[in-house]
Amino acid sequence: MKCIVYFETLLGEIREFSLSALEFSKLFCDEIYGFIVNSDKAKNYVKKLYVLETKNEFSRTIAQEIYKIVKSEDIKYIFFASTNKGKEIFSFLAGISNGLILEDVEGYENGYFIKAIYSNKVYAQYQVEFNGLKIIGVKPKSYKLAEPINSNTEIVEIKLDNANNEFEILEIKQKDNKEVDVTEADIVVSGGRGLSSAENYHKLLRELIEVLKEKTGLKVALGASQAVVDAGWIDHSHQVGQTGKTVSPLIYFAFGISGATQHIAGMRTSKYIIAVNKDEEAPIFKVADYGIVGDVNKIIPELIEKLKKVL
Amino acid sequence: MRILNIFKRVPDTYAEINLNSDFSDINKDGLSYVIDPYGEYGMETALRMKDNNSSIELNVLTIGPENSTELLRNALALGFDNSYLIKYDNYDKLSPLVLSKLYLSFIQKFGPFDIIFVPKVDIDTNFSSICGYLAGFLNMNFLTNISSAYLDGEFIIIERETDIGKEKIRMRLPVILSHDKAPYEIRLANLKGIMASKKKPIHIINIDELNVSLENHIKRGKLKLPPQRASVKFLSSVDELIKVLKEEIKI
Ligand SMILES: Cc1cc2nc3c(=O)[nH]c(=O)nc-3n(C[C@H](O)[C@H](O)[C@H](O)COP(=O)(O)OP(=O)(O)OC[C@H]3O[C@@H](n4cnc5c(N)ncnc54)[C@H](O)[C@@H]3O)c2cc1C
Ligand SMILES: Nc1ncnc2c1ncn2[C@@H]1O[C@H](COP(=O)(O)O)[C@@H](O)[C@H]1O
Repeated sequence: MKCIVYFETLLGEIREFSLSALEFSKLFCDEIYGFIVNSDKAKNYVKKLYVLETKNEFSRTIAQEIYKIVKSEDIKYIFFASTNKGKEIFSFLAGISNGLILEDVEGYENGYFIKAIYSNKVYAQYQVEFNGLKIIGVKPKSYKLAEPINSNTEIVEIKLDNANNEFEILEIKQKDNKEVDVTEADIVVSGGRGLSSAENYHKLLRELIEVLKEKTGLKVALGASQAVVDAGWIDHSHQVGQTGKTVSPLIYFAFGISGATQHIAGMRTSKYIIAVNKDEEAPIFKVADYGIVGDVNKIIPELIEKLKKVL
Repeated sequence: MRILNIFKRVPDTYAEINLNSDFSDINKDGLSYVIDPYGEYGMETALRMKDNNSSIELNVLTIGPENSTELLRNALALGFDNSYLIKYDNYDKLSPLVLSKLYLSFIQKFGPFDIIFVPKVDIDTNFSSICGYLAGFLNMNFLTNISSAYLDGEFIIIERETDIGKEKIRMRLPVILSHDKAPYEIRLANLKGIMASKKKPIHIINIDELNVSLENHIKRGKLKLPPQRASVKFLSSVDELIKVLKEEIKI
């Protein structure tokens, strides 16, 4: 079976999630072609790599170029990392090719694809019966990363000079790229209304993040409940939950977060959940592995001081 | 200028979800249904456009059982001019391909529209492909996960969050957009709006009128709840927490 795996890049580097999609594709394909835009970084992973060189990385353009390869090579499956960018490209490709897209897939068992539904409150099995192009989006972190292969990769360059007067990026405000995104972190340190003010939220949580980073060498990110995002303490890109991001880090710290169902929807798949809340009845303790009933204003500074000494 | 907002009828987001006894579906007893949150944000963005230009015609569409008209009535009370229901009880089992074809057929019958807003994800099925499918079928400009948008002549200016940061984009109309959370609050209907909504139309469309095959190529099988998490272990001091981090989690 011939397949394409799309390697997404972010600031010039391959996103790790694409390597999970590649590993997943091996369940279905014996001949895997890579597709990447403006980079050859994926060349150690596939025998044949299509490289699109273009100034305008529009999802629409990328989808149209991949579709040409689908037709010329008779491709049956495409695999991609189920990120926002990936979903944008491939839902459009599904439209123009009359294909079928199944995104956010977490596993494959006995002929069924597994995917979370109802905001991660339920898992469902899906059976695909379709003769056309099948496009599968693999949920970040749900599958192990593919190892590089040693091969003389054939590189096929596609050069495109696509002027466009339909679509123009007026401005990009790049975020601080030292700041780890909550979806990529090993540890997420999240705070809610219990932190009482924006100053307190930033001061306590950022100091804890610095200590954790320094002591563990892991990727640590700052998370938030919707209440504090709506209060303007922090940007929406940090929000965890139903209308924020879904995370599954090794450790999720919930400080002063009550644990509303919409918040839990975004973090329940974390490996370890550690909650600190002054109210022992807070629903966050229903999903937490470890809990401390207490005041975040005392616990967090003490944790910072003690972490500095140990670990 | 004509705008179409599509929303999904979904269980209230506060609800606990349980399964029925043969695991074929969720247990719907006692669930209340609402307009999905991303549909609501898209509606708010459309209403803001109309605040600035009252000649804009706002249309709203959903699919669901007959009593979905209650939700459409809410949209009319907020300021939408026309509303449409594709009547179909088993709407939450349709694959996104079938759903997109139904919406496409609706757009071909009742369009054209200059802007179409859809939710960034249908939070019941967790599918997020409607925007791309429709853009592909209609060969239209599109953008997913937008936070806000406003009109600028024949163009629309859009802001969104991406994994790189914040983007501001100008696109030529017509466009189809999937809406993420907006940075502004959603308005509530006032008494005047509620009174006015009683005179506004709700068009009910039988699914057969749209001439779309309802054959799903993705068949949903059994459902399963996520594994129960072990019950919480309360720790009595920060020292105990440090011990857990070092000895159990081993960071
Ligand atoms: C459609 C919809 C979507 C939503 N999406 C999201 C989402 O994506 N993410 C999200 O988070 N929410 C979401 N919500 C909101 C959600 O329902 C809650 O309102 C929100 O999560 C509450 O945030 P919080 O826990 O910070 O605040 P609160 O619920 O006010 O909780 C604060 C907690 O802090 C504790 N506390 C107070 N002081 C201290 C102290 N000194 N020390 C220790 N603990 C203290 C309190 O006991 C309390 O438990 C959504 C709601 C809706 C309707
Ligand atoms: N019948 C099923 N329906 C949905 N998901 C399933 C099913 N069986 C297994 N899974 C998936 O497999 C994972 C591990 O399941 P388990 O082996 O039961 O712990 C779950 O988190 C689901 O993602």
